[in-house]
Parts: sequence; structure tokens; C-alpha cells
Amino acid sequence: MNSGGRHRRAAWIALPVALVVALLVVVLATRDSAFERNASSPILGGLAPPVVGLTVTGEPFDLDGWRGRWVVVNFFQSTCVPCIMEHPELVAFDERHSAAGDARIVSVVFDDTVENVREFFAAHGGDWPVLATGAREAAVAYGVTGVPESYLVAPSGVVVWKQLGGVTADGIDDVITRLSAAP
Amino acid sequence: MSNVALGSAAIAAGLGAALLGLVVTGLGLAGRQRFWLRYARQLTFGMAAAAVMAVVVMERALITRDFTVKFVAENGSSTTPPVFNVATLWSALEGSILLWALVLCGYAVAVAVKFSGRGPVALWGVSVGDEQSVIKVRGRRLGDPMVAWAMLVMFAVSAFFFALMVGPADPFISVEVPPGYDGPGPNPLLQNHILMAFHPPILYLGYVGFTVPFAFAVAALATGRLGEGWLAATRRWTVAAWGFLTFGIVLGAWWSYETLGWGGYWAWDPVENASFLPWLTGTAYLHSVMVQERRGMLRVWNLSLVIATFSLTILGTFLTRSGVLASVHSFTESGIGPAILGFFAVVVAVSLALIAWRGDQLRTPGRIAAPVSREGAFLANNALFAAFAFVVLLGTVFPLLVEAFDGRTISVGNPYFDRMTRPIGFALLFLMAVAPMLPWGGEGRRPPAELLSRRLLVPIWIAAAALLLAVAAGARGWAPLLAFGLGGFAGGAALRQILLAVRRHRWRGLVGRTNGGMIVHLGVVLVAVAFAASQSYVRQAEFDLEAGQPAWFAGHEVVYVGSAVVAHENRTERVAFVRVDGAKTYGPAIATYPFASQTIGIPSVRSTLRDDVALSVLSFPEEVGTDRVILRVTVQPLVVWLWLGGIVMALGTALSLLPARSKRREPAEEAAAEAPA
Amino acid sequence: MSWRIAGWIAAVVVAAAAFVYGALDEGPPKTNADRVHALAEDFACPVCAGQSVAESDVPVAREIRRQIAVWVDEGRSDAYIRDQLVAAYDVDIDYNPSGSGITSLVWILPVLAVGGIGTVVVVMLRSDRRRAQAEAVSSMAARRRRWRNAAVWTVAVVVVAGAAGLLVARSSGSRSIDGSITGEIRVTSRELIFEAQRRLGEGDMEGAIAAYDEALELQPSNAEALTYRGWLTSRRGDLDTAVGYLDDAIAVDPAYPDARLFRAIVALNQGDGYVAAAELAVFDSLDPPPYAEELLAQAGVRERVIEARYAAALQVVDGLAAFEERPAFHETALGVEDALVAAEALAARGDLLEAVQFLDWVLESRPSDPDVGAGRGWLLVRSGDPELLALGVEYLDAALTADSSNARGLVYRAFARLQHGDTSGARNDLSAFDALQHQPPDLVRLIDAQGLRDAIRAPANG
Repeated sequence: MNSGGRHRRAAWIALPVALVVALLVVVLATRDSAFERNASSPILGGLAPPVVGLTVTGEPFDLDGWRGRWVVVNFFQSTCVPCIMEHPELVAFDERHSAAGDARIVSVVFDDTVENVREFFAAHGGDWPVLATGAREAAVAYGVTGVPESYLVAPSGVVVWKQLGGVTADGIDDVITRLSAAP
Repeated sequence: MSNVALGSAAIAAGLGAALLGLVVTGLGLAGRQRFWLRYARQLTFGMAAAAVMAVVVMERALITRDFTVKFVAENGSSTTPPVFNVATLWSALEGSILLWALVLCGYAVAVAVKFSGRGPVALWGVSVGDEQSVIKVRGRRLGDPMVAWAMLVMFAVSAFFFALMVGPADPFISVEVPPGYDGPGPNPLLQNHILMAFHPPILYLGYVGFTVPFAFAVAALATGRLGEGWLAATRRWTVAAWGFLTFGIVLGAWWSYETLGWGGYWAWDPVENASFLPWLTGTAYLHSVMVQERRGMLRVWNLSLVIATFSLTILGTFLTRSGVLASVHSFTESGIGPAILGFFAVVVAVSLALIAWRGDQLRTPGRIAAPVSREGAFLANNALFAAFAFVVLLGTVFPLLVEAFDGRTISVGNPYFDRMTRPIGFALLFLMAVAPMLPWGGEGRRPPAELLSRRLLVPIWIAAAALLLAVAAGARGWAPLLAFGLGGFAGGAALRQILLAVRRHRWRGLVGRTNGGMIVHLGVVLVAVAFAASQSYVRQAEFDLEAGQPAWFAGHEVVYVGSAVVAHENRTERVAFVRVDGAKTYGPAIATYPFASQTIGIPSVRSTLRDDVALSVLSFPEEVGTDRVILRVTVQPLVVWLWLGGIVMALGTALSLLPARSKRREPAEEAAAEAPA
Repeated sequence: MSWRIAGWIAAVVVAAAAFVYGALDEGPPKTNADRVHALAEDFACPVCAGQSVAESDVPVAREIRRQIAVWVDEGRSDAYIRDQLVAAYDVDIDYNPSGSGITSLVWILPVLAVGGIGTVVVVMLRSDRRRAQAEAVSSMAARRRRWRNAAVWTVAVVVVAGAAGLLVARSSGSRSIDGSITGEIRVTSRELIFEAQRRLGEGDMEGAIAAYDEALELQPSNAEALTYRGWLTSRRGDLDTAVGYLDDAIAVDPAYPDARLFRAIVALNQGDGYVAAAELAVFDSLDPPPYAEELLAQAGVRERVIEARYAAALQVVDGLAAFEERPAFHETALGVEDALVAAEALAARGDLLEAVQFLDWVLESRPSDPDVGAGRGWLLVRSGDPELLALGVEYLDAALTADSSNARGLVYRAFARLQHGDTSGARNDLSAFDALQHQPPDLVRLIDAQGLRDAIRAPANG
């Protein structure tokens, strides 16, 4: 009943199956853990999405008005502990650059109330604009995943850097120095 | 003796017993010195005793809060309530591997006991075409090479899991904690619903249960006794494992519905898919096995399905435990991934090599006489289940494949799975109605068309009635209506078979494989209809309510009555009291656990047979002088029927395990059934 | 028998009627909330493993849900919402794999698999029936025919199922395709301006002008585009048109430093020092960004403005000299500022005495003007002659007696006292200046340029 071709049919079917499974195993073995995959952002290198609206003090704000300066766009929440820890660094950065005016900060409220934010700034200092109205649009446009999260916008209006978690004044200055030096 | 030392010793002993069992059975098989095989049974006892010991020690450590055990220090807490304290065992990686080993050892003992009795060796009498003499070692079937090979596989798998616990997933690591230390307790999500105490063990009973048919499949390939003997030997084991897996999956869905607070129970999450894949191949096997029993064909296919089912349980374990896929269920990363992946590769490689080697002997002696026949329907059923499994597997690993070849990260979710699995589901429902009515090829006294028109007349009327009822109740859209119609059709067919069987055999019409299977079908129909209805007609909205303020949504009235802070031993809850439809008050809450960074929502569900109103608190806006709540209301019809369907499926499985007729007649009956047609 | 057929027909008719009615009738309209929920289920929560935006309770998911609700309320299309989210969070937020490129395989492969499995089943059924004949005829020819049959079948299945799979992929993962049809590529004036800047960086002036023109078509009152369009026009030599653009820009946004700067430069090129000076003064008051200052320095605008003003001032002085009898200062149209500039211009020409006399003439009309007094003192202080220096300090003292908080007087005297070696006096003057509410920017620049603060801080050397 069995001809030569018949003898090896199982083997012929098993072989491609084995190859596919082997390929799968290789792919699986070379994957990083999902927890370690770094969060890249598609907005890096592109024109900064708009940050437009009213600040907590009721004044209009538009990021475009700051073209020509480095701008730190900082998303935060008054109750988040890392935000509270990062805040003095932002204050230091602001003081360092307020005289020269070459770099500025705009904070964007993330999932928080205006009262909380006012109290937060009263308690922790800092007098840069804090966007309240239009904040959610900005957060979703920047692809914010959690707070604190900061973006650096170059004088050309391009988003050049992203930081998940707290920033330091020196850290931002390093980035600015590095990017200014680059042609 | 400290828990760490005791537990480590137990695991070492378990590994020793497993390795010894491997050696003993190996020697027995290789050296033809069958007497070695006698010790296999004792070694399974030893192995199981070690596993029980390890679990008892771990539970003792958990209950006495022995924080010198790292697992307890990381997952235990003095504030965890007693039930969840016991369940803490499977709330983290090492403990869940320990549970896996315990279940596996239980199955090993059961196999050893079952196949080591004296008595007639019915196993071999029924094989078709294979002439094998049973080598009797003092009348014990363990001396049979087939059983010995199966035991060898069981020992090998056990050895792997014990080795995991000696190596990368050691549950008994000693740790120094400062005095007064208290652990964080298990993940809050795992300690707020009683289902968590049952879902994982039952799921594991299913997962691990597939080791038994796998072991016998490998044994059949190794011994070359490729007849139907191994099928008969493992039929009940497979059905039982399948039943546990089914019930475990349903319990898991139930748990996520009750605890996660988004009104969902199935999200095509990688871990859910990982449990669903072996279920699909296992279900395919339960059907195709009948073709082999009856016709002696599809041997390679059945072996492949068993092997695939077992391999998929291992692959699923890898996908969810290694952290390559992000999932709500996955534990944080561990070094266990490569070991499990390696084991998966070995399992597949060995199985494929065996199939390739035995290919010449696997040729089918039987044949399919007519396409429109029971076996033809089973064939179609298997094709559909295979396609279903392929769709789910592809969707699950596809992001990894794209990342590997293209470097991009993409996601595959709801839209893909819904669109691709829906047609398969419809086709399966249709087959569920038609297949039980079809005669085996060449056996019907009348042409199939006439038989079908006679037998399906009642089901088609039930389908029409279901459609009318659904449309009258306001159901719209082709997809859910098709599901309801086909559900009525399949349900009617199953009901007809059950009623006929009960009329003929009275209560015995409810037991046995065929009748139990029909009850399972009924459960599947309930689940399918409930799934279609709840997925298609879910309504969800978020409300910002002040105390005393009502909201109307999807025909229901919810009133936010007020809130209160309730302190529990392990958590602090802020409960929102919400009155639904002017009747009972429900208490969805937000809980804060001392060690969790995030607050955990505790939803509350008002269930009726008609629809569910699921309430979950998103937040309590903190504003002075107001009492407000942001409440998410999800209204879904027929959700309860998912759980009822799951229970019916489990019940049907249990009934199908009972012998259909009186014991005395069974061997003769089976022999007659197995005789070449 | 016939009853059964009738029963079937009736059942099928009832079922079909109910089905068709229920499938065609749309039922109660979907609310926006329903659409939000359906959409939210199709997007992955960016931070939660394996949960969709609809399912997760983390703040990000909540914010995205709310934003989707805003978009839905605005009447945006699904494709638009998808594009927005993908632009911000990358494609892995989309649970619906794209129907093009490598991801289309996820749609095609299952259809291929179903086709393949179906074929295997059909072939099995067929071959089972023909097994008997096939086994009887096992010649080479028959086997070859079998192989050929198998090959034809395989190709046919792959082609048909592949085509079907492609169709599925096109229809299923097509939201992004829709997106490119309905949503278009979002070209805003911002992006055009960005494009123009890029071209300018590459030296493509014509391209940049074209881009700015496009931006202005979209948004005629865009100050940035107007400014740079004007600036580029002036670089091509068409100063009058450039002035038109720049004045428009200034009208739109009076506080845009770039417009003021370019307007000043264009004015200089036209030889209009007054306008240039005025624009420069506004520019200084605007808190300009650093790059604008750099541009200013590079173009030497300040020096050129001073030169132009000196030239204009000297013309005035020469004009005065043409009178037989010089009129009194208050009879002329000159302001104090002009007079000071003229004196500086005379001094710069080397006519120090004439400069001092010129200011004396001004003081005749305005005897107690501290600025003029201070300016006169300052001329002498800078002469380098010790006697004149002493006289200059006297003048400065007098000016400060008239107005003790005169900014010029304080700064000039600080320099003078420092020359005397009176560091502490200089420090007093400077701190008095620092305490002033308004500090003229030219004085601040003078202090910085001369390093006055450092000189004061440095220990007095013997």
C-alpha cells in the first residue's frame, strides 16, 4: 500500500511545521521584555503640537508666541509625588534662564483641578504659565502617558527631547547645550 | 526546621523522585528489565508527597506570616484576609509554578494508580490493525511499554517543573527582614474577589490535565502502537481536563467582570488567548477523536492536536510568564522565560521528530464514505477549530513578529479578533445544529437530506422563534441576530437530542459522552448568545453626580445617595452608595491598599437574567462643600447567561464522564463499536 | 412529507423575515457616548498592559476617553480621531492593524489558512472516494498526474485565498486609508512656515518665499509669515515692498520682536535713522529672544543706528550754524534727546569744546534739566584730562542736586568716581541706579560693556 512518496509524507509535513515553530521560538527568544521596551514618541523631531488655552490665572497662552526660545513643556499633577519632587528643579531651571530669556517653562495641568494647581504653585514656587483650559488637548496631542512628563521644544519649534518622569535643571541644560552644539 | 529549609528539601526531593522515575522507567524500557517499572508507581507517590509537602510548607509560611521566606515577604501580608492568604500561593510566579507542580504530581499519581491495577488489559484489545502482545509483569499494566512510556513523559515534565523551582523560580529563598516587617500582600486585584480562590487552581487542573493525553500520545508514537488504544485509555482524562479548562476560563472571565470594573469579561488579552488556544485545539480533538474511534482515520491529526494542545499550554505559560507580551495578568519579569521557551522547543521538536519517524505507520486504514455525514461534519468542525486557533495565535504573536522583522511596534486587538473570529463562530454554531443529526457515513437508512429535514424541523422553528423574539425585544443588526438565530438552531438541536435520549433511557439519557456532550452544546449556545448580546448591545457612560442626583441611562435610573469611608483590615474603601431603579442600593468603591501605588476600583454589579448594571467609581472629585462622584455605568444584556452557560458546560462535562450504560455491557459495546465497519 | 416541507418553508420565511427586518432596521440611534465607547475599545491604553482605553481606569486612559468624547462631539470622523491618536502615541495605540504593508499579513494569512485547510478537507474527501482507482493505477504517469493536480490545486488556492485575504485586509484594516482620503494631510500655516525656515536654512530663498506666500494665503494675518516675507523681500533689494510687509506685521502683532528688528534694518538701509532708532527702542522694550539679539549684533544695527543718528544730528547742528543769530534751544523743534545725540556726535567728531558749548546753549533754555547737565558732565569726564574730569564731576554733582535720582547722572558719576579711585562712591551711585524703577536699556548696556560692576567689585589696587 505504501509507495516511496507515501513513506515520507509525515516527514514532509513535519519539516515545514518544525521550521515555522523554530522561527517562532527564535523570534520569541530574542524579544525584550514588554516592560523594558523604551517609550519612543512619534512627535520627537516634528513640529511641536499646539499648547494653546488659558492659564490657571486666566490669561491666554500660545506656545507659538515663544518661538525662538527653548521651551520646556511640563505635564504634571499637583498630587503626584514625583511631580512634587521634580518641581524645585524646574524652579531652578527657570531662575537660571529667566534673566537671559533663552529658555522658558510652561506647565500643563494633567487630570487635576485649578484650585489644587494654584495651591501647588503657591506652596512650591514658580511663576511660569500653567495651562489649564486646553490642557487635555495638549496632553493627548503630546502623547502623555503619565506624570510628570516633559518635552523640550527647540527655538525652531521642533520637539527635540522627551523625559518620562522627573527632570533636573542640569539635565535639561545638558540637552540644550548638546543640541545647541550640534550643527 | 525553618520553612525555607523544609520547603527547599521538599522540592529537592521532588526533583530527585522525578529524575529517579525518569531513570527507572528509562532503564525498564531500554534494558527490557521490566521489574524496574514496578518502582515507577512508588516514585510518583514520592514525587507527589514532596509536592504536597512543599505546598503545605508554603501555606504554613503564608498563614504564619513567616517573612523569612522571600515569597512570603514579597507577597504576603499580615492584613490579607484568610481566604486570600491561602490564595496568595498562586498570586505570584513562584507559587503558581508550585501549584502547577502539585497538580501535575496529582495527575501522575492518578495515572500510576489507574494503570497499575491487575485485571484485564482492555487497553490493547481494542486496537485496530496493531498486533501487540502485552508483556505482563506480575499482571501489572505498568509493565506495558505504552504505560511506561507515558510515565516516562510524566516524569520528564514533572522533572522540568521541579527543576524550575530549584532554579529560576525558587519559591523558598531565605531573606532577612527587619523586625516588625510586614509584606505588601498580593496584588490588590487578586485579593478582592472570592473567585480568585478558585479560578487559578481550576484552570491549572485543565492546563496540566492535558499532560496525560500528551504523555500517551508520545507513548503511542514511541511504541509504534498507533491504534486507538491510547485514545481509549485517555478519553476520560482528556474530557476531564477539557472540562476544568472550560470552567477555569469561564471563572476567569467572571472574575474580571466582577473586579476590573469596565463591564467586560473578555478582551483578547494575551493571557486570555493563551488559555483559549489549548481550549480550541482540545475541543477540536474531542470531536475528531470520535472519527478515529469510529473510522480509524485522522490518526496523525489527532496525535498532532493532542501535542499541539499540550505545547500551547506551555507556549501560553511562556507568553504570559516571560513578560514578552504585556498583559494585565502577567507577573513582572523573571528569569523563567528562557527555560519555558526551551522546554516548549524540546516538546515540539521531540513530537515532530516522532511523527516524522512514525509517519509510515500512521496511514489511515479507514476512509470517509460520504461528505455529508457525521465524520464529514467533524472534519469541517476540525477545520474551523484549526482556523480559529490559527487566527487567535497569529493575532497574539503578530506584534512580536512585526517587531522582529520590521522593528515597529504595533497592536492587535478587539477589531481584529472580532472581525476574524465572528464568521468562524457562526459556522461552528451552524455545524453544532447539523452535525448531531447526521448519520455516520453509509449507516443511515435514508438519504441525509431527508433525515436532516425530519430532525431539524423543530430546531429551525426554535431558530425562527428566537429570531422573532430577539427582533421583538428590540435586537437589531445582522451579526447579533445571526448569532441568535444560529444559537436557537443549535440549541434546539441539542435540546431535541437530550429530550429524545431522556424519553428513551430516562435519567440515563443525561449521562454518557453523547448525551453529556449535548448538554455541553447547550451551555455553548448559552455562552454564544450571551456573548453576542452583551458585546453588541453594551451601553456605557460616565456620570458626574452630586449626592441625591439621579441619572437615567439605557432604561435604568441610578441615584447617587452619598459616600462613606470604610476601613477594612487590608484596605481603606471609599464607597459610593448608588441606588439602582429605585430598589436596592449598591456600593461600588475605590480602595486604597497600603502598599499599592494606585487606588483600585471595586465595582458593583446589579445582575438580573435580563441585563446587568455594572457600576464603578472613577473618582470622587475633591471639592470643598460638595459630595460628588464620577460614576461609570455599564449596561449589558444577558451577561448572567455567560456564567450560567459555563456552569451548564461544566455540568455537561461531568455528566459525560459518567458511564453511559451499565458497566457490564461496556466492553462488549466498545468492542463492537471499534470493529471495522 | 409535504407537511414537513410546508413547515420548513414557513419556518425559513419567518426566520428570514425577522432577520431581514432586524438587520435592515437601524434601531434606536447610536448616541455619542456609544460611539465614544466603541472607539475607545479600539485603542490600546498606552501604559496598561493589554487593556483598551475603554477598559482602563488609569488617568491617561481617562484623559484619552474624554478627548475622544470631545472629538466625537465635534463631529470628527473615526479616521481623524485615529490619526490624531497615532500621531501622538504611535501606531501601537491602534488595536486595528493596518491593512497595508507588512501588517496586512495578519488579515491575509488567516484567509489563506482557511483556504488551505478547506482544500485539504475537500481533497481528502475526493481522494477517499477515488482511493480505490488511484491505488489500482499506480503507474508513473498516474503519479505524475497526481503531482500536477496537487500543484494546480495549491496554486489555485493560494491565488484565490490570497486575493480574498487582500480584500479582507483592504476592508478591515482600512481606517488609515480612509484617513488619507477624508482627513488629508494637515497643512497648516505653521507647517508652511516651518517648511520655509527649513528652506531658508538650505539657502533656498525663492522656495522660502513661495512657502511664506502659501502660508499667507492660508492665513493673511500671520505676523511671522509677513515679517519673514518682508525680510526676504528686502534682501532681494525691494525695500519699499518690504516695508509694506513689515508694517503689516507690526500692525498685526506690535510685540513681535523680529518684525521690529527687520523694520529697523530696512529703515537703516533706506537711510532713515530716526525710524530705525524708534524701532530699535521698541525692540529693546520687548524682551527679545536671544537669537534676535545675536542677529542684531551681527548686522551691527546699534552702531549703524548711532551713526545714522549722529549724521542726522550733525546736519541739524550745521543747519543751526547757518543762522546768523542762533535761536534759543526752546525756539527750535529739537528735543533734549536730539540735543544729547548731537553733542555726542560732535564729541565723536573730535569737537569736544563745541559739544560742551552746544549743551551750554541748551542749558540756557533749560537750566535745570538733569539729563542735559549729566550729558555735559559725561562729555568732560570722558576727555581723559584730569582738570576737565574734575569739572565734569562738578557738572554731574550739579545735575544730581537738581534730581538726585537721575539715571544718567548716577551712572556717569559712578564712572567718573571710579576714575578718581573713589570705588565706594561709585558703588553708592551704582546701587542708587539699581534701586531705580526704570533703568534705561542703553545705560544698562553701557555698564555691561564697560565692565563697571566688575571694576567696582575688584579690590582697589594701590
